[in-house]
Amino acid sequence: MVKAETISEPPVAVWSPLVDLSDRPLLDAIQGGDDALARAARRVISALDDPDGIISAFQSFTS
Amino acid sequence: MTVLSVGGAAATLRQAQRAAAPWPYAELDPERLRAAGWRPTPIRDLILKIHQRCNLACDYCYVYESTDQTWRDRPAVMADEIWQAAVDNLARHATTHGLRRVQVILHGGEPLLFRLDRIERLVGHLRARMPEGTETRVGMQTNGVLLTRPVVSRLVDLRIAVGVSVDGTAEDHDRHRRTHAGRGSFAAVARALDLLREPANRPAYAGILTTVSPDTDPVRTFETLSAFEPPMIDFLLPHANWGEPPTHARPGATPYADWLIAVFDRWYGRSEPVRIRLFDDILALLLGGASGSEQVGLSPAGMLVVESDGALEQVDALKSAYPGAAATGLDVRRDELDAVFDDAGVAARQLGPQALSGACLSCPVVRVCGGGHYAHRYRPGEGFLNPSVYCDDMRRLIDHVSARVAADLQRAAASEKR
Repeated sequence: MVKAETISEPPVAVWSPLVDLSDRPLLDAIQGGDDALARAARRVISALDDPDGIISAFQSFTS
Repeated sequence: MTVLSVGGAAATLRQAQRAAAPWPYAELDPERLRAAGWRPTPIRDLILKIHQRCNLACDYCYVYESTDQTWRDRPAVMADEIWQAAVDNLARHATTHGLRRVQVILHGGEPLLFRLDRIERLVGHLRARMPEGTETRVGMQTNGVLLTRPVVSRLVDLRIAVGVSVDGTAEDHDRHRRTHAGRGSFAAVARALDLLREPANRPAYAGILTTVSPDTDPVRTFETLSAFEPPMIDFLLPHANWGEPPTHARPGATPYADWLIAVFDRWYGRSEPVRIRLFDDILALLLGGASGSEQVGLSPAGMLVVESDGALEQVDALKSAYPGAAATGLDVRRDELDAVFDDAGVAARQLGPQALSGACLSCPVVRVCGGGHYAHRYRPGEGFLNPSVYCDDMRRLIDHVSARVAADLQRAAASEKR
């Protein structure tokens, strides 16, 4: 059985960003595009108030 | 007597699941998880197996051709009392958890064999019963053969969006997706997709579902599917596990990743590209977002299946692991949906990184991969605490996408500096 004290978040490999862009104003460049990357960026930004991704069984309803 | 038989069946099921999959069934205790702070994610998707039979006989079907043959013992058609109980149960669940949105997916077998008049009654009951404030969406996953013009028009009226299973070119599709008489089904499906593409019918067009097959030409497959102008393409890896590895798996080779990468390179960078769920999810995950699909990411699973006999089960994909792998022992007429959160298998699919093997947890792409599809982690006699049998393919695909994105971001950053 899993022990109660083991339930805290397990150590996951250290996550480093793809490219450190933290000091660069890329938001406009990414958001203004019409390619897949820009679309993904908009999706991430629009989901900030609803951060819980839930796995869905049906493709059309996953925005 | 009824109580005893139900209890006896549940005990037998649990015994079989503990033997076939000690993790999670012998090692994970939902009660202790809850005591330690785990909060179950409510069910958002209810998949109704309204018809258990199919008018096609696809050679790779994970319902009819897999190790789990429980479909044989279930009614062909879901009775009114079952779907009514399912809808009422979902309405109570939505109220209890204050859900803003739920989805009911009509599934099979082939759901259109259920008949449109029954579907209309079901959808009417559903929309009448769901609480105010809960948006209710209805979808259907079909092989498309029965999607005639009158049927599509009715689906538009009923606000049902359909996903259609297609395998790419006519030749590739007809090699696998045949009628019981052995005839290919591509011509009928292509006619259906042409109907769905019409502007008036597009509200009923959800997308295309395609199984990855390394013995096909990936670019021709992608271009064939794109020509049908789907709102979304969902590429699925064939269901496999460590006991039954993927057909094309070879040591040192990544044929499934190679296939997907060829499609990705054709797709990425296009202006307003068709949505490809797997790629969109990987891009979102690389940018720090969440996934909504089973194939990547660490999101909790929020879906549940109601079989035609009322059994509450996990998704069909698990049936590729071992007989009874999807079962919970619960019945939608007797048990509230919340009861599934006492099932170790359901809990395992909501735990994110806690449901991953040590190998996954130490992998640099774990937050994107998420261990891959849960069904693909199965190893007979051990269970699901393993990397995906597609681990090498997933790593190669994610590394490739990551490199493309990183290069683009570097270029964007460089141009802004100038």
